[in-house]
Amino acid sequence: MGEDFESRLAQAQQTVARLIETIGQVVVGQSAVVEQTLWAMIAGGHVLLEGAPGLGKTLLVKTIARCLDLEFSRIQFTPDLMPSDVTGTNILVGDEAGRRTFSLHKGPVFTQVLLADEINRATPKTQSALLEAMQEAACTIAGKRHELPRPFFVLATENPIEMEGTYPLPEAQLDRFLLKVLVTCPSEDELTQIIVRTTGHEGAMPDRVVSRDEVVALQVLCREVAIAEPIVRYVARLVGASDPSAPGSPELVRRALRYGAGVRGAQSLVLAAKAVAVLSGRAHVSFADIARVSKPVLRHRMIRSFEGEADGIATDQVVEVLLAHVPLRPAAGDAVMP
Amino acid sequence: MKVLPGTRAFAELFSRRARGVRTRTSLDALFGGLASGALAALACALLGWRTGLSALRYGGPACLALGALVALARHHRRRWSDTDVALFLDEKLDSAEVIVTALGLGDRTDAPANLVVKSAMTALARELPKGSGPRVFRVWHALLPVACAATVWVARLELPLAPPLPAALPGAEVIALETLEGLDQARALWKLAPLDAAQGERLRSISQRAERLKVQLAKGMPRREAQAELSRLRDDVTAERQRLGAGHERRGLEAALAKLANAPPLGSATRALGDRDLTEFDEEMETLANRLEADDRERAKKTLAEAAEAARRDGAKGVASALDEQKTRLSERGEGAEALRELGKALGESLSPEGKRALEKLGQTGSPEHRSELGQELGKAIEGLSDAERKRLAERLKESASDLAKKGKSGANGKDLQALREDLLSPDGQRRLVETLKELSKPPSPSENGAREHALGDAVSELSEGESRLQQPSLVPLPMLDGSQKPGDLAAQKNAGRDRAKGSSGGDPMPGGGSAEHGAGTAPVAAQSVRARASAKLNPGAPNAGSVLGRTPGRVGETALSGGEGGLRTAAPGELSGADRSEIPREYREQVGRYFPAR
Repeated sequence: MGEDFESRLAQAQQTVARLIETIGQVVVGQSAVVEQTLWAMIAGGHVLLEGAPGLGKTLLVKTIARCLDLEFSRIQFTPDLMPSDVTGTNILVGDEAGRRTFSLHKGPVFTQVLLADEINRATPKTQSALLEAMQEAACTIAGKRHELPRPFFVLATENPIEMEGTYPLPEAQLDRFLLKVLVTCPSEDELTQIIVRTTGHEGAMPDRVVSRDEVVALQVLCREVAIAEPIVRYVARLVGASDPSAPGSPELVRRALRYGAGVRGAQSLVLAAKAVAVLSGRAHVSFADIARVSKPVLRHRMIRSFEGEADGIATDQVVEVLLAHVPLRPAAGDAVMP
Repeated sequence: MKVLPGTRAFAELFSRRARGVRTRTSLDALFGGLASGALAALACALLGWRTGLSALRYGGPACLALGALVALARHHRRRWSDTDVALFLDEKLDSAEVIVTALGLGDRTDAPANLVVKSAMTALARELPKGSGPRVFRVWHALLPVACAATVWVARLELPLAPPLPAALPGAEVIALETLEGLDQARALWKLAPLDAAQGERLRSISQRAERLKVQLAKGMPRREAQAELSRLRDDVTAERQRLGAGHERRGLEAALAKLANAPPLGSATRALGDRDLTEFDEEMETLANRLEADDRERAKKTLAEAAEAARRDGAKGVASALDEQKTRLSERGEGAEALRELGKALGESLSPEGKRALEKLGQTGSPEHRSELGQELGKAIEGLSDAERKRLAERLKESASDLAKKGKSGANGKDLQALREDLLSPDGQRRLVETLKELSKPPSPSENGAREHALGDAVSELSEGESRLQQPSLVPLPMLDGSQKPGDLAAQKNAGRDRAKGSSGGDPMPGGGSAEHGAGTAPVAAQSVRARASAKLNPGAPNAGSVLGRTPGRVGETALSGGEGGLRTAAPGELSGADRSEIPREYREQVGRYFPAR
């Protein structure tokens, strides 16, 4: 039985390696972004990619979607986009007998991989149309609940909030993204390679290298990964310390944050860490896994205070302080590590 | 070899590794505790060396044991749990928390759990990297041997001399004396016949206090305390000496004195009684008894009886008792003296010239010495008489007795002469007569009151001498060790002190008891210098006993006529009879006296 799980783990690693290799044929660099996106896919969560226009966010998502043998749809968020444009609506249709009935016209959300491009260009009302879909993988239209096909995976891109014509995502919506991945500018080598690759002949599109069953298997495997109680407690302390009103929270947290990460943040930390463990071929989570996923998991869940924003304190800085401040073992513990 | 299920095998493997880890942490705690204990032992040794408390210097082993026990108890209370050990092993084996995860799986037997356990066992099977185990020895553990060595060194060091003592307050130094003048006399006062029961109690209390003071002095006590107690004793003894005719007996004494003043032959005795000097009173009355003729003696007895009655009437029972006693003694001693004189006269020329001179002097002065001399000479004369001379002497005695009878004085004297005559006629009677003469010639025994007065006077005198001795600045009776003796040689010092103390008491205190050494001393103290200091405060704010501050109110009619204790307490020599010597006219004093009659 242990050998079976070990083989499944090995198979998962091979699958992911194949996927990464295939994506790498299209997307130059951005290995961290690719890896983090795959964490979310394995953990069954959604990803918010943030970066300046032209950094390959859409290309990355499209490539991933193409590599997966899953239904794919894309929504280009604009300010005049309506919620029904996302979810779909009932339209009146006439049959051959001349009777007219309402028929559901499913929106683009009814898919398995959804690319929500430039999500912060739509109004919050439209953005919120994705809430139910992202949390429950279901969509309620005209009072009727419709289950979405599994797996359901939202990959959203957004421009930095400072750019014109953008609307900040509601906190509730942000909380539903497992990870917020920052897409950074490519290095000189990567840029050179991008220029060469994109200004010549158009390359062939990648093949579908991962089936739906494989994706589901990855997600099941992720849930089976074990985690020790001391690590879970560490996650709880880490998230608890992000609350600026909590006693013993770091001074930077009290000064720069208005709200800390909540329960979803703790859940997301563990899920993401489990995905990392799967990718590492382990059946258990380590403290290092938690530390590794903490920034993409927590950075969009902490709401900065006015002072934090005025001082330009990034949430990533706060996460670093939290990691340094919160001990692996509770301070009140009797044992003293040598 | 039986293959254990995964979780059980993991548990055993983990338990073995955990035991090793815990052993090392226990050893770490033990060495830490020992090092702490060694430091505490060193501190104790230093403290003991500094303060001179030897027990602290040798408390090192106890400190070590205590440090180890405390450290192990603390370690046991804070010992690592299995989770702590697992986390430690995960960290040191770089196993990404697989061990702690496996430990938390419990009874799970699913596939992931099996894989985790398998991975954990693989990790546990690896050896810890060299030097990554729990540290047993730490740098500061090196203090253990260093502190132990230092403790031993300090324990073997000789104690430093105590810092020089500040100048002692006057009288605060400790003195120790085996004997002190006056204490033995004061201790024996309870044996005296008291004036009354109350005085008996007081005398007993004085004796007990003297006994306590003697014991305390032998052990050693502050000089000032000894002086104060000795002064109090002397004051109390003086008060007892002056008790006769003092206070409420004063009027009785004055009345008796007034009666005695009517008898001129009693003048000296009256003055002695007025001075309440019963010893002198005894002597004066003895002189009178030796000197007075029978008629005068009878008058004196009558006067004494009247004086005693007057004293008793005015409430001076002690004075009356003393007068009654003197009356009886006057009668007894007077008759004996008269018998001696008559015998001397009857012997005539047979008496030696010394005897004649003693007979003459006895009649003139009444001195006890002359009486004694006369008695001895009479004995010699009677022993040298022939039978014929004895018969003639008997005849003369018979004539003297008859003469006395004719004169109407055939009382006791006449009977005595008759008895003497009969004794002279037989050899046995002659021997008895010589013995009787010896008895009559002996110095008189003091009266009860006189004896008490004498003993109290002796005690006061000796106590005063004792006070003087205590005030001698050279009296430093706590000798320290000399260079030849080492601290702790208590037995030798005690014996030496005892031997030297024997020197003072080795001689017979009675006359002719032999010579005595005067090298007595106090046993040396077992130290090179005094290390303990006692509080020198003695009755702060209170004056020393025996000192007189200011004046005390006297009773009506009382004057300071004599030194010593009374209503006016101690009177200075210049204050005695001060009123008589003042320039205030006698008439004025008497007038004032009528306004303030005695109550």
